[in-house]
Amino acid sequence: MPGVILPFPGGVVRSGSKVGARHYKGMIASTNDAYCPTVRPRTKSELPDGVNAVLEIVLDGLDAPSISRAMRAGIDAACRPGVKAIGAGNYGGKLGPYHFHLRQVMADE
Amino acid sequence: MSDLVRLTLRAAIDQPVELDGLTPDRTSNMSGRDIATLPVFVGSRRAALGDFFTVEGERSDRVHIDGDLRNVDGLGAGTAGGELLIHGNIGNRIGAGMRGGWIDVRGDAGDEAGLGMQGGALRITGDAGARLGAAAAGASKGVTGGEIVVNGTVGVDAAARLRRGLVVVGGDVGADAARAIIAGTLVVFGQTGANPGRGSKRGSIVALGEIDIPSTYEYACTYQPTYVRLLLTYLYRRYGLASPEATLDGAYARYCGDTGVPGKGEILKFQQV
Repeated sequence: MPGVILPFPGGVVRSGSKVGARHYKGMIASTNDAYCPTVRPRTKSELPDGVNAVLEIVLDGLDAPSISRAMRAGIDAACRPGVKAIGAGNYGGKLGPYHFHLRQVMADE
Repeated sequence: MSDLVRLTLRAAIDQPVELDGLTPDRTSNMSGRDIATLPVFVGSRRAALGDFFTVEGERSDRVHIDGDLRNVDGLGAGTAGGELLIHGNIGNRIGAGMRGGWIDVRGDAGDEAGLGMQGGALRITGDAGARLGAAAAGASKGVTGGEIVVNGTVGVDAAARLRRGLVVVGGDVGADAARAIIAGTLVVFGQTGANPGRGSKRGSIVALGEIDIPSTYEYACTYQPTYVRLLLTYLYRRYGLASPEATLDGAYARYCGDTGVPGKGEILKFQQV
């Protein structure tokens, strides 16, 4: 996809991350425990039953249209049997001013 | 200096003998005569190692012992380096508190093998008794490093209070395995006895066979942990301990606990297809 890269090796981050950390002020990112299946009983999990893995795809893009195009292509590719849900994290706005709403992204063509 | 020191049992030992002074790192700078005069305790009576064994070789950190030593306790305790190979059964506390080196028992071992171990490797090709790799009486920590691999079955209270390191059981393990562990890993190829991981704060139990998950552990998810594949591959390459093919790529159910502590430990239960 033009204007877009996947900054992580292989493009996939297992379980994902959240901005900041609960117990360490200096830590800029930590495991997104609400979406981590392996610690489900130990935290306030947001995962529905039957979810055993959460994969996060991180995109860096030159502009908003490029990101939207890439997200649309990625979601099309990810819609396979066994996938329970697809969502997008905006981290409460902590990661920047841009929001990409999935219904709007998928509606644009 | 010789390639190895070989000890051969003169006659069967029919009463408990304490032999905790013989370690391969000590024999590396001892003459054959010095080795033969190492103290041995028969009950409260002091004797010499040469009274029980013929000694061949000197000044080597490789010690090979032939004979049935099931009444010999404390052998290799505190070993810091070198190689100790026993062709036959051995008594209690083999390799207790060892800090380094390699101890290989080609037979069965008694109770408390690898008790409070700190480093090195202890390999037992037969069965082992109770409290394998456990904590000494009154100690807050058990094994703090190193590897213990038993091909056969193991008694109760294995790996109790494990702090670090790896304990592997090729067969079944008795009740109360990995009790109150703080870290480290217990791998069981066979059936795991009652109450595994009771009171554990951290650490892992990898159960390839049958296991009853305690009620104080909570189900998290079913997944394919990469580290288990690495661990099982390592065990095959270093110790020749082969795992069923399915356990390498198969699914494992992860349980968190012990929630009664509360702890951050885990039980990984292989999912039979």
